[in-house]
Amino acid sequence: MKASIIVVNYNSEKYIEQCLNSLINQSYDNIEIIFFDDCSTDRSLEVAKQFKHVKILKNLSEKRTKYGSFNQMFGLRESYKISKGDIIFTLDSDDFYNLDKVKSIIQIFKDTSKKIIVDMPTIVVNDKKYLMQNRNLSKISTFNHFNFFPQQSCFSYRRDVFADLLEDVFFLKYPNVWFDFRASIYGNYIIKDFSILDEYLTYYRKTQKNVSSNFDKFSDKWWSRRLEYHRYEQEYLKNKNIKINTNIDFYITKLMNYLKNDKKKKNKIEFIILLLLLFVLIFTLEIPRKFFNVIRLTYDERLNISYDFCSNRSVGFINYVKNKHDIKTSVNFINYIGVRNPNWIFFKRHNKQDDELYILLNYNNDNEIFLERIDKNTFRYNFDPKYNHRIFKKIIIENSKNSDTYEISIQNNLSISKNIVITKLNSKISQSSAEIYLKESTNKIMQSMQKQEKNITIKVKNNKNKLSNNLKIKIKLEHIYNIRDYDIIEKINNCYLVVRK
Amino acid sequence: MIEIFNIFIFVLLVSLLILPNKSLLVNLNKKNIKYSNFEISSLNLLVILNILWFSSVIDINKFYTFLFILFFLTINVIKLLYNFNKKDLFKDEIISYLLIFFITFLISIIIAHDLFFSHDVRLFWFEKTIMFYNDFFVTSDDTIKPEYPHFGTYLWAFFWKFNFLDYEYFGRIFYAFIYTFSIYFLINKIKFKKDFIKYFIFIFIIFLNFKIKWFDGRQDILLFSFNLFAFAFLHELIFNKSVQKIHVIGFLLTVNLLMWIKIESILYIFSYFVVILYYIKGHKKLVLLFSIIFLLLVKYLFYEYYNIVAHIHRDVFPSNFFTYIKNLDLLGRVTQVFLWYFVGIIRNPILLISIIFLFFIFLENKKYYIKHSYLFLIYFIISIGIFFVYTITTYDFPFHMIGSFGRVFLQFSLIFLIPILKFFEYKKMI
Repeated sequence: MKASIIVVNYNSEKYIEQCLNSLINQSYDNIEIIFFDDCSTDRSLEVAKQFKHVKILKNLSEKRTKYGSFNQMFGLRESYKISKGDIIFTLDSDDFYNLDKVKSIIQIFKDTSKKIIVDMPTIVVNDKKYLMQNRNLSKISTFNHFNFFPQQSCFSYRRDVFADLLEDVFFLKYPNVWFDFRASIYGNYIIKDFSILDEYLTYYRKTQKNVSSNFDKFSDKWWSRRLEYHRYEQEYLKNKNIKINTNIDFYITKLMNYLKNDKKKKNKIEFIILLLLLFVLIFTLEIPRKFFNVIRLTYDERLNISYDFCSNRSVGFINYVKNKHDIKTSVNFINYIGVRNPNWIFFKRHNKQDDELYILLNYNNDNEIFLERIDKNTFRYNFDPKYNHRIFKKIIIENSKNSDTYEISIQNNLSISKNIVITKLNSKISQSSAEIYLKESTNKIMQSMQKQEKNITIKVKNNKNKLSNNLKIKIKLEHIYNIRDYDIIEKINNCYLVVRK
Repeated sequence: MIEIFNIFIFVLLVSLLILPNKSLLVNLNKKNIKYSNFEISSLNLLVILNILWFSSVIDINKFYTFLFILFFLTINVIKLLYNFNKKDLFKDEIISYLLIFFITFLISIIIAHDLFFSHDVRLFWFEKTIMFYNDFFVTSDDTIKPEYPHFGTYLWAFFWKFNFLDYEYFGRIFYAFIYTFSIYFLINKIKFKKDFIKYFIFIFIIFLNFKIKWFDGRQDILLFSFNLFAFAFLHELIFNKSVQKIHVIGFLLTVNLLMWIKIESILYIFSYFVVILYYIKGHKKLVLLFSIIFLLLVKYLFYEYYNIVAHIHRDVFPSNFFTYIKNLDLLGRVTQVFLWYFVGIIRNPILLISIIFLFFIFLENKKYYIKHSYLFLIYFIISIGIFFVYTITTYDFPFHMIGSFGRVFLQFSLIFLIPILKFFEYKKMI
């Protein structure tokens, strides 16, 4: 198989020697090199003429357009006309080949029926070389519509495909759409044979003169070129009667192009976005309502809203007491029992000399309240729905062996204290998880008691979420303070201000 | 209306307090390095906070401290008026300062409206605040947690005492100011192409992060803010290899404040200590390490001198530690902590988004994180600490963990902000 390598040049005097040397010294012999010069203004031609086996073609200045992409395509077409190779390689004059590239590619063409072969480039920046990442694997198709394709120096074609491609994509529209992109669209949609070899056989030189250097990612120019890509693709495929799906990428690109190059418009849009975000922030946090509430309501009224007058969050009653009994700063919360479903909470005067004044809140109902005093500052609640005395009974749940369910028979006049102590018999049972479950069950028991049910069934799970077998439950007795031990100074709803008798 | 007006004036005065006034940077600017306005502002804020801390530790009458701050404020305002027409007066950053002021004002309105205190706040933080408000000292602390550090509550009490209306929430408004400023300070470490992106990210972070419950008096929001200062200074010291004294001093001032906020902060200080040990070289490393040890020593001596039980979380670590550990179902507990750790990440939008970004950045460039590895080390140490504490806690397990994971994750949730933004800066996207 004969290989024709078409080198298209414009003002790359510095690099031509390296480029042509890499072609002449190829390990494959049957090569034809065609050098097309696109009216260079430097010494490119003189350098190229020093190489004997290189066929040189010149563009005529009157045929030259002001767009590099069109001139390049023109150069490729003219060079193709005089070429004789079975396989056509395209190369930019500032890039160069690995010395085995032609041999390797030709071998693949021989072994397979591939029509276009694209290898990966090693990027050369000054003297440093690094491999380009093959992004084809990591593409996100929704936001990145186009398949990855490397630079045009990595492309090689069968002769008939190249001829067809040239005829197909050669229309002088979309100057920023270069031949490599056109070839990738042709490969992807028309012949449906566009794969990228995972071999690094081409050296792509990155300089300030490169076309891609003008297109920094996400810059205005980059967006503008991307829009041309979209338009080209749409027009080209429409002519071929191929339908493509509408994609988000196109609309984002369109929007970004709408905004580009117009600073005032951009600033306006940015300002609007900021304002919108601020508005969203303001309205999600309900700031207008809160603003007017702060204006309209006093501090104490807002406290009442925050806590309710008489509930588990109440300070409304405290403020009421503060004002009525002229206790200005000294009454504050001292203790709050952090149970999951508290029935009432203690508040105490802050003044430490006089800790006998309590505020009690019971927001559930009008039942009697019991205080359990653990130590000086800590209290626990106990709540007996029906009786103002309580019968203490020790319950031990026996292992019922074959059954997963433990039955506890509880008499109606028994209240279960929160202080259920679980003795762990089997190390596999997590004490805490059983404890949690029992705490939840306590509420259920309470509810059942209110409903006058006689038997209550609870289930205890171990830490693997299976029902456990060995569990002992004790109920601890604590000293109880009765509300009757206190004088009630003030009572509103279920809130009490009391002093010990 | 009077309240709103007072809130407005209060936030304005606090904002004026941190305007870039170079009077505090005596002897720091020998090499004529030009500091950014935000660096000067941050140092001003940290110095003022450290003065407040100092007055809280040696029990100076709050009124004298207040007079000093008033004096400082007056200098700032006079300087502002004097330089008003000069070109070099933070002209580029005036919008930034206004934005911080505006967001703080918005948060203040919410704080003034929602006056509810959560469990921990009623139980001990507010108790401590009342103690300081009534001009008591730490020696008369007979709240149920006397060993808890007091600086946050002192701040609260201080600004409660010295405002026009004598409402407690003014103390918490100051927390909000530290919160907004610290977020902006961290974001400002990135050089954005456009200021719009900076403002956008700032508001967006507040949008994701802000919850009124963080401002009900709990101290985690202060830990969050001081951690942000620490991350920003560590970024300068480790990533940018800064040799400027302002960063060393700023970091030490932050560490000092951090250790007086909550007991958890010891974990953060330990992680910073390790990071400094490994990543910073030479003279600077010794200065930083010995200063941190000195600051810890000061705290220890303070606790010793005033006979405060300084047992690190006596509720978490029992006295019969080894027997306790033997009887624990360690495997079961670790599994549960592991599970709730991930739930915690998912519940924290900022941390979740950060980790997703980290993952995609890793896919894009696998070597990118090497320069930011110190942050991963900090994160690793914090995570190990979390696992250790919650596995052996004597509190009600797992309720204690489930209830407190939200605020623990808040404290360091913006740890990965800088590497993520730096990546976009490096890609020239922002």
